[in-house]
Amino acid sequence: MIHWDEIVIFVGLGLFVTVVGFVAARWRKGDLDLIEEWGLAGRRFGTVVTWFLLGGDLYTAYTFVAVPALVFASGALGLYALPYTIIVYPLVYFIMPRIWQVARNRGYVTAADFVKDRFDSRTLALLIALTGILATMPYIALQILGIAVVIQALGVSIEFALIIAFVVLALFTYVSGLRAPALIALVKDTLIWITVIAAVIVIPAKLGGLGAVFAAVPAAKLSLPPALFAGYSTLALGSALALFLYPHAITGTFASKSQRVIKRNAAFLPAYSFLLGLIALLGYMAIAAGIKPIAPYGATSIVPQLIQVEFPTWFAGFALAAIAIGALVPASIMSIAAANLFCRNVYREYIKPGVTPGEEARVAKIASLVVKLGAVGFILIPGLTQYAITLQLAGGVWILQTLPAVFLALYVPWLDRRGVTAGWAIGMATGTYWLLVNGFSSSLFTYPVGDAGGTKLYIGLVAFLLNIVVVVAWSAIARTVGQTRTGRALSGADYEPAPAAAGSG
Amino acid sequence: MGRRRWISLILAIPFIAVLWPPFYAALQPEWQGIPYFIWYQFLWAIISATLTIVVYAVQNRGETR
Repeated sequence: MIHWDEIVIFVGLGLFVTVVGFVAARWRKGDLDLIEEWGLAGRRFGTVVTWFLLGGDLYTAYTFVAVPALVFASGALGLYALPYTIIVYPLVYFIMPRIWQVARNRGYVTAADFVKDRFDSRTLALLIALTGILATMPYIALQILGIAVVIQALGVSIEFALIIAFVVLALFTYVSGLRAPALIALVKDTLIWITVIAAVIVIPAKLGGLGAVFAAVPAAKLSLPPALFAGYSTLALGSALALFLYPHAITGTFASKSQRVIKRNAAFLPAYSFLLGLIALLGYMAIAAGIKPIAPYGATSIVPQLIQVEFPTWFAGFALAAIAIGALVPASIMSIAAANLFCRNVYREYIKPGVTPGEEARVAKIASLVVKLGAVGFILIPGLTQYAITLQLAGGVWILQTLPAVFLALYVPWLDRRGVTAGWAIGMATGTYWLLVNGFSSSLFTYPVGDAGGTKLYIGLVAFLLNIVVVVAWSAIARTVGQTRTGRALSGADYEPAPAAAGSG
Repeated sequence: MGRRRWISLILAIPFIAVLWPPFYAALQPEWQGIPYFIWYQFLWAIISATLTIVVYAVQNRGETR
């Protein structure tokens, strides 16, 4: 069934953000033929813009659809998103200002730029860059999937609507760079906050109160069985360690103007964690409302359905548009982040050294188009959607293996580049192996530890532990025998604010 | 300076509170019909943010700019 009134509101909001996306090119004007301007918006964003940008970037449309879907299907396990996003910000508070400062001082656009200098190794930088690109691409595809799930609820042709969404997304990203998703994030987050607050007030009220919602859910889905304790906390910890290693999170962080902006955001971004928790509860509300998943989207279809069943049509159009626009922001930032990596750490390093700044920015813009085209293909070609979900699951495991090279290297000067490379390889190989054994259906694997039947743990975190053991053991041995191989480009002063420039940030 | 550094340690508290499910994997006590497992974690989202604000305020007290 085609829902015309919903479509009118949906299209109206869509047109509005399109205009915003193009106007963004003139916002805080800079020379968009430079990669620092196109890809990092000149590192000039203050506390408020960064809050909207990172909030819009990290809490993606797919999250809004997938987290309630997981709660709907698996119950309490799906709430791991709460501890995950609770502990991520204390980590951000300490780690991200330091990497921001060294990136600012040395003009790094990507995490791999830092790795190259820090270890004096363009090979390790390439491995880190490729891991980032690999982890990001399926994530972009899932944002497109988020749009597809919403559009099918409107009853219009998915192919046609997705192509329009893609063209809009591709053009404004190409023209405006990171300024576009930053400005659109202001609109998107406002729509999302209104939608979620309305949902958690209106839907329980219609279902007889929040107490009645929980009473309608089987008790087994409302708390965690002891068998899942270790899985729950390792999933939360591993995901928290991984989140700010993702290229789109690093890009969003690098675009801020000072260490203080990042620290303040570590204090205020948890508001989104609370929001995400409320969104997760939509999964319970869908159970209470008797929503049935529809093929081929399965449990991911429950949120759009719940919205359509419980809200008047005009507001349903508003809410569905909020989710779809919510997909554009992360998809745009992710494509910029992947393009920055390709341009800086693959093209400039291996294909054409000595590239001019103008050409560098042009390559990044074209790369952002290619990345998104691949993502849309993944969703439109029948049968490939499942691979996007699988690869995104694997992406989390993979990106976590870059932690020693990126975060640990900020603090430990004696890390050896061969040890870090070997650790990365071990982590990637074992993590992928356990995922394969699981048939890529779950990121929890039963390890032969603890109880007789084994213990379910998050694959990414176990692979990371092996990774770190190799890194530390190799580096310690190399240090003992006096053969440490590490970069000499960076000194302690590179991690500190420049005294003269401190007031200008 | 010493106290400003040590205050950071309070940010370890949320890790202990939410990464140990035996503390909160239970339905009772309910609050307003919300199971303990759920309201406990929402509460910690608020506490954790508050602790971060405290650390920021202490560590940046007296600095201009």
